[in-house]
Amino acid sequence: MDIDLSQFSQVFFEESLEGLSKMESELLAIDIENFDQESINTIFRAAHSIKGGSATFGFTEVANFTHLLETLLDEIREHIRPMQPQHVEMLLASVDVIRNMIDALMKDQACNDPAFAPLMKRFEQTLAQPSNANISVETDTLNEPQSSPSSTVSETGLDPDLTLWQIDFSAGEDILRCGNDPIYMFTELAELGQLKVTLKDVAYPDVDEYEAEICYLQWQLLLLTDTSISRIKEVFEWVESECDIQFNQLERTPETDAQFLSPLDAKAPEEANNQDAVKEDSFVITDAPAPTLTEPQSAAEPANSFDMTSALAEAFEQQNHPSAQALPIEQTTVNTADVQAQIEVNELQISNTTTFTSTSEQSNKSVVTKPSSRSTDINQSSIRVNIEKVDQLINMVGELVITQAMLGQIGQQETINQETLITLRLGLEQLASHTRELQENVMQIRMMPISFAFNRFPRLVHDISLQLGKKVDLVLSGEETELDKTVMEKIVDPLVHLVRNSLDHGIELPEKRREQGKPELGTIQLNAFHRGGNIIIEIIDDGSGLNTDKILSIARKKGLVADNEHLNTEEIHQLIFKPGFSTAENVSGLSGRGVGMDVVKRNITELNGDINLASTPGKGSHITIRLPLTLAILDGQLVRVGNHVYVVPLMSIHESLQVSERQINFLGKDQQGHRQEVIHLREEFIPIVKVFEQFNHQADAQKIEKGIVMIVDCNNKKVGLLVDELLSQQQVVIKNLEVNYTKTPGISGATILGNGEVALIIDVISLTHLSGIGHHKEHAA
Amino acid sequence: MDVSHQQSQATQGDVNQQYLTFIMGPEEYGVEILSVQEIRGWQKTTAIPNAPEYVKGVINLRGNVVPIIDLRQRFGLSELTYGPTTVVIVVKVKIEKNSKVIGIVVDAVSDVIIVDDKNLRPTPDFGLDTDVRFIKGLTSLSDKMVIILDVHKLLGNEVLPSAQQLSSIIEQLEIPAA
Repeated sequence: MDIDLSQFSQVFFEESLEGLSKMESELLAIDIENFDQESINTIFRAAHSIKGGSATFGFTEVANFTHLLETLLDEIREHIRPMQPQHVEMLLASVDVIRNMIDALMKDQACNDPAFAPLMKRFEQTLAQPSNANISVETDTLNEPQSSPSSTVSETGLDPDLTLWQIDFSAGEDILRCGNDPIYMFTELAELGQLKVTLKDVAYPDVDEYEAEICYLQWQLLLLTDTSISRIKEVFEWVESECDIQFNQLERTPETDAQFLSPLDAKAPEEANNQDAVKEDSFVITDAPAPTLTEPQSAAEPANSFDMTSALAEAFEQQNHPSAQALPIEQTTVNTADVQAQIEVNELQISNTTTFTSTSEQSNKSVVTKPSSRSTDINQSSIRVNIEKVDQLINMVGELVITQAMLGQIGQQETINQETLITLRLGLEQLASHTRELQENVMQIRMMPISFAFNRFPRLVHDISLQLGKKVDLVLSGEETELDKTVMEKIVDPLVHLVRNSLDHGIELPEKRREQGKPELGTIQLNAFHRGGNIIIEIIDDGSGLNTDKILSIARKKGLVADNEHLNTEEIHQLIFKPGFSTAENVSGLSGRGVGMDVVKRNITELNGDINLASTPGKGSHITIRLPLTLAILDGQLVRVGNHVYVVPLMSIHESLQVSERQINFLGKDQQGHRQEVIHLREEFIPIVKVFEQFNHQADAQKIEKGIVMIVDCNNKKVGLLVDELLSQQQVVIKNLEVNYTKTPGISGATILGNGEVALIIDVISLTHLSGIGHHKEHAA
Repeated sequence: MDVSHQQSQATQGDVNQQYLTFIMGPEEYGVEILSVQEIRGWQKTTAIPNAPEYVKGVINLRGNVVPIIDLRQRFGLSELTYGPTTVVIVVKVKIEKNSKVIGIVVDAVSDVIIVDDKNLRPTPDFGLDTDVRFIKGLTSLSDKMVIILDVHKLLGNEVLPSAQQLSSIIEQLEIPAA
């Protein structure tokens, strides 16, 4: 049986990251005073599946850490510990830590998050603190409700009237083959009383000789119960014949009780044991990163736990609550409800650990191959696709097959007459439309709702507004708007930057807002919607807006604008996109270093998008980002310049026309003595870029009036491109030129035409820049 | 040249490497055979505007856009008109962390040779102002000298010496061989 678990680890990473986002959003939504039980459950479930998954895959660090998280959550869930604001903060911080750990695992690196160790300590301290129940050692009265079912305080009491049974259970090799699962038996036993399951340290076969279907495990079970031996034996009824089972009644002494309560059992016993089995192998073979704990490991090391990480964690835990260790058993008692609660927890954990037993052999085996295979899928990213989209594709392929069959039939006919010609044309038309639909739908697969990008903002705004002492309400809309995954990945950072800017520079402090007669609660809106073939993302705040005077004076001071230059408001706004510009009086951790906006603009321009900014002083600012839906396909207009064919994105073309000589005007010379030609078109003067000049080609039309002028959009300004001839319009698949070559000014990519030749795609903005028009403009601005 | 004899040696030694040699002008050059993806004839390219003269343009290689570089021009040799026998060696080179596929135009492909690393003579020092790291070493084959190129450095390096410098380096290389 060769199951390589590492092939699933990618799924685990994705699910964990999803779980983390869910935890994050639920945590942010929590109202401390009056929280929803269901949201705590959701958070708990997410944490639990991350823990389970990470243990399965042998990521012990994550598993151990998540376990602490889970313990706290469980206490809150069971109302043993009241929810406090610092808990939420801790949980949020731990979400970050786990995310970093998973990121590190994905890259196959050791995680060195500096926040990890202190946070772990904080968790342990919090958990070690008594919760609402008073469990002080000496004065505990009999009916005092006991604290939590969790590890840290469960040592508090055992009912002396119960009987302690020791059951030595060696499962027969065939137990799993017969359809019996020890887990179910243990679950049943746990219902009878308090159960401690310890995995016996037996000789396992060599890893290579493991067989998945053979059960090699042996357990020692300690059961504290009031039920009769016959009832206990009943549990094993089905497996009695094939297994070796011994029942012993143990005398209740403080020692046996202490043994029963030994720290390993403190957690879900079953799980701990099975994990150990897995962990041991992963520890030895995969050379796991050393735990970051540095505490001495002197305290009780469980006999059968070979795992250093967990041993250290164990030791650590005990250090933090020595009082609990020293508890005299006699003075303690068991609250029935608590036992019930603990059993429930056990059950829950047991039922969730079924995978451990059934796959423990496989996982042991797979661990060996993990390091090599994991490194291969670092760069693989995957997309989760809605099943509906896949079904649509299947339908479309079906249609395509039918059309193909139809065309095939025509091809088999001996002669082609007028009638078959018509059917042929019809078929070809259908083929064309199906191909187009198929293409569109395949592109759809890469589309993801923008909520993937938006989801991080509630947290971001929450943290930053707390840090800055501002009150901000974040309103999201159009989260379901879909855009290409690649575009999404590249737009996240610019968006984060813009939102941070809005928070830092835009929204004022509550007092200031009150003075200005605005509500104390500032609003930042994030909107996304489709317009044409583009996606528009708006970031709107009702803050102070841009201070044009300040921007101008800073720009003058920094030499970005000459003293005698006069700029209009819009041009001043454009200044913030200049490299090295910052208006913040204090450089904060958030923004103000002046490296931001120009990078934002560059990133967006690289995506073939643009960014616009409108602002009213005192009222707020409005940033609009326009992005293409996809980077993979483009509607293009083929043009000819000399004997070269170029593609111009259809999206950017306003119109194409021939101009007469009298429409052409010359603008004064620039530094190089170059006279800029402009055409006068319907009350507008449009600068002309001669494509052949910029690209050093031999063109038919050297003069503007001889060729065709294509009016294109360049950063909301019109520019005319002079070309020789317009060819066909077609959809082109964009090929990156930079994969094998380098970035070329004026060219955004390449495509392959129907005849197999390569045509280059013109990047209007960079071409205009190349011609000096953009440069001149920006200089003037 | 006794190829078969050298091949039998190759199976014994670990440091033996196979090189594809090609002719360009008077010189014979070699490139690591593992970096060669394919050898194909010359086909029309799509010119890249404002590219250096030695970049002949890009071609469609089964859906990939691959730039074609004329190594003659790159080395400052006189330009040849391309004919049906002009050969393009498509190589896969590692540049920084990325691998790029680039075609190089050469006069003719010559042979596959096996060279022991021990027999690879280091590149003579031409002074500090010229970067000759793109030459892996020199080896002699019968009475000819073969210049073994490091394609990764040759095609990846943005600050290669100019064509004039390169041609002078190659001229100087002839002296030790002769």
